[in-house]
Amino acid sequence: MAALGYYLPPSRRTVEQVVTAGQANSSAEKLIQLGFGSICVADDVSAEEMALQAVRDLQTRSGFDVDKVDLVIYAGALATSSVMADDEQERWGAMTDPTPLFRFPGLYLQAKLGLPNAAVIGLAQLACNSFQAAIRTARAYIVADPDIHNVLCVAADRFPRSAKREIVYNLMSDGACAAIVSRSCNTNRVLSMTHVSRGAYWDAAVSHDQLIAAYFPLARRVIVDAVDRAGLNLESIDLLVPHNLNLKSWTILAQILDLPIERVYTANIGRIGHVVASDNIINYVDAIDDGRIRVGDKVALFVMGFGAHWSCTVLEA
Amino acid sequence: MTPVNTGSILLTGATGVVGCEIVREFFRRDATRSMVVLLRGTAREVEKKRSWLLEWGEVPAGERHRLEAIGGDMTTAGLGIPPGAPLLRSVTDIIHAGAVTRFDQTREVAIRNNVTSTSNVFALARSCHRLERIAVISTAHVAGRRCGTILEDELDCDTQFNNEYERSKAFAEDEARKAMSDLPIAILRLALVVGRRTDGRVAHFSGLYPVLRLFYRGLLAMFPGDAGQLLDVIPSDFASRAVWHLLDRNFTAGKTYHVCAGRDRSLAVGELFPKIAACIAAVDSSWERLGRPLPLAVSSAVFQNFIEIVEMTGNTRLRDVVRQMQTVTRPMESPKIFDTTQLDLDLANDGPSLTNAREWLQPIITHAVETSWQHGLRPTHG
Repeated sequence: MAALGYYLPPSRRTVEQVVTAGQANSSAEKLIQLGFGSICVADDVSAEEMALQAVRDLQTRSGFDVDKVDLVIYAGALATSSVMADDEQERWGAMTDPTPLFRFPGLYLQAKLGLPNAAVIGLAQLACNSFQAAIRTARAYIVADPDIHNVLCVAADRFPRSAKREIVYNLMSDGACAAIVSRSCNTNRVLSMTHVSRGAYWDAAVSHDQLIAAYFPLARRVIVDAVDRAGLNLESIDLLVPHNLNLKSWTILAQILDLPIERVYTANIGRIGHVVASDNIINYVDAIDDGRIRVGDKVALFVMGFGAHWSCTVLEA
Repeated sequence: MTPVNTGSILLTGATGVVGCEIVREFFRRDATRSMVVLLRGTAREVEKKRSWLLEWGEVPAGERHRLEAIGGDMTTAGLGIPPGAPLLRSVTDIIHAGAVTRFDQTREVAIRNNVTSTSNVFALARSCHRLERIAVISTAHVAGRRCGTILEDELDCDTQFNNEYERSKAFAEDEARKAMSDLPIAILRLALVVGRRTDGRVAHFSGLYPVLRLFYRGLLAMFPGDAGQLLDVIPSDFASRAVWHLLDRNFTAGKTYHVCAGRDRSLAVGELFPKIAACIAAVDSSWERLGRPLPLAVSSAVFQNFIEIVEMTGNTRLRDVVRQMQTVTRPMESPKIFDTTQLDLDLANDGPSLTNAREWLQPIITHAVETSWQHGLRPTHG
């Protein structure tokens, strides 16, 4: 990956504010015990605007010329992220004019970035795993098509204003991330990827408890498989970059993996919570900025999403 | 009426998982004697339980008169049987299989249910002048939290226990050991008991079943213990046949047996869930296609963290799951092997045989899946 960037909306809510607003199922005390402190809320900023800001951050950080992009992959984790719907969006059941259903954020992004020569693809139904799926798809395109050299992957998600911010004992932020997957690039090199889907848990409201039970065994499996496919072992992983599920669950998963919790980048869990599809990249970038990742380090990025999916990507920084 | 001349067998705990199999096996191997079962409840309830036992044991109509049910309560002196009752003149054998196996009993209640009752059985036995043998059915888990190889003649009441049930059964064994000075007692410690090898049927889906049911329903994330440690499980038909063999054919007062699978016939925990999954898939192919993961074998520390997070989140269903699991998983935190040297010696001649659990689990799981882990036929509790 030649360039990385992200965007978090400036508006913040503390755990207490989220609970007071009726946007959590658990008490503030419990959420704090689980490791959460505050989240970022988009308010009036749209998902596609956050996506655009994430690309701008990528450009600022790397100086990458987006005119070199041959393909844009826009990955929305939430179902609402696949179309440009706002909080005033007419209910689908009452809709008479279907054209809003064709307003796609990937194409909006192409227009705003001025990339008439880049093709655009949208990925959906992958929940929080969307961004890892975008990277995997980008790799596959590069391998399959000799004319594709640079793929811009973007994820952006914004919860409806009135939606609960707590899902399965995790607090959710709005946010976006972006990455350039390049044919010729020696940094942040993808060594391996694994992805497991389990349709048995498609209705999370019904299979909530089964999903929690499946979480740890499948998390272990995809991480161990990805590390193994990379020709490495867990001991040689310098840092595990998580999705920002609660800290307690990461303590358990680290123990299951026999990995010291110090080798899991947990600094952002309390600060921003779980940023849907974007927190792998947000954490990766911040870990580089914090000096926790250096060139040549082996890093595993893990994410699990509703639906359900488990993914792991192993990178060489 | 109990026929005095031919002798009779008094059985407590007849409606339990093992007790009802002991009744069933009795009618398969004994054509002359009678069995008297002590049951709790009103006269109507006692008769209902007797009918259930006859049905469970598939006792032919012409043989049913040989099963007599009397109302009583093991926790009261004399078991509630009137002094001088004809029964006391006919009893040659007592099988004391009655116990309250709930893991959440307080110490006081467990002592009353399992120790006082055992003492009461012995007191009654002393008034049975034709008495020849007493088999006290115990549990291998009187070993509590001890680790390593547990020998059949070892008993340590001062060890740590996982629950008050285990402690009370150890104390009951201690009572039995003291009573051996004047009563012909053998102690038979059973492993976890599941259904029959022939058709998988079981009177209660208790013991290991709740954990297997959680696995079937996709609610089992992890269990504490090493994947290599052994889980000692026996089928109920083996348990009942072993009890009868050791009572009837090869009785030696003063002995203690581990009626267990032991080292060579137990399944390693790491092998258990793949095997159970294969057994379920053989009955229900749609279950396999759900792709539910196998639970992880984790350290006690990890499991405690998992319990902590479940308790913290307040998810009542998962909390129940974890609490249910702990009844089986807590003993797994102290890995042990039940030595069966004495059992193997005394079953060697014409006794029932047992192979590794992997060879006989299929009908057990088939029955459980086909009945949706529900009791198809059971007596009213008590």
